Amino acid sequence: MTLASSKPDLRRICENAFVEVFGTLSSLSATAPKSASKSSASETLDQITSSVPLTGQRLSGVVYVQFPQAFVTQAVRLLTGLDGEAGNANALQEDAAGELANMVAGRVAAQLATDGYPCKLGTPSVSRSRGSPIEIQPGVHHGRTDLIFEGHRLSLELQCHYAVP
Amino acid sequence: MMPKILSIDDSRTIRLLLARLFRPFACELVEAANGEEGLAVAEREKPDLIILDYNMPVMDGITMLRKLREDAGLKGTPVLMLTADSGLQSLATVARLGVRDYVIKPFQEQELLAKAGRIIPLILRAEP
Repeated sequence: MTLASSKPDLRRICENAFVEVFGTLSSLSATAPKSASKSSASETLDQITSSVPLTGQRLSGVVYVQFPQAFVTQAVRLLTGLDGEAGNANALQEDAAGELANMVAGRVAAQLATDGYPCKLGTPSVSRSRGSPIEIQPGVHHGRTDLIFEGHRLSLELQCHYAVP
Repeated sequence: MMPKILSIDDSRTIRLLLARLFRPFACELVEAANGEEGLAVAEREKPDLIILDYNMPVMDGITMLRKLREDAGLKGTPVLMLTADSGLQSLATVARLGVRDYVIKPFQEQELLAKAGRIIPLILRAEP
């Protein structure tokens, strides 16, 4: 979403970042959800939300990525080869969710830089919730996209402020 | 003697991924979770290759790389940089600091192995 035509298309940036990252990471195919209101089984379960700050001279903001815990468990197994209790450890799941969000934020930052808004990535932080949507802070510009990977709905929200010229 | 790889990344997931990736090969893998720790491990272990993350707390990859290049005993150590930021500005910074190569995260596992294999010999371990 943009408020002025000269601003980056935040929704498109989110979509591209999501598809690039998860397309590379796994052989699972990414598809856009068929209906925005359709729930997948996993989305009512525990969610892990990672946020990565972006700071630049012309733009500052936060990239939020929300994963169902079941997806993160699957990603940990895929990436590390760990199974069972070791792969289900909360700390490792949160580390993986933070790292995945960092990769997505990296693609977002690269696209923003191409659009004339270079920014640096901060350290990811991670929280857990039960089905709470990502809150939109008042007054921010934002773009959002959802993707479904094998029944898991992943959400990406980019919220930012532009510097006053 | 087996080549020694030092993987420096604040993410345990990435360190575990690299351990899994290099396990089939006759090489030794040592780890550190940030640049500061990485410098200490590099000093002690004298690795043949450092796989270094760009963005880390405590000491980031760029600061560590600068310090590495100032150290007479370590400045020649080849570095393969991992970065999540594929922006041209970040890649230019990495190139200026003389890394041997870089890989953008997420990466295809074969791409990373191919790049590492151009720096150190990667020979499959003999079957037990």
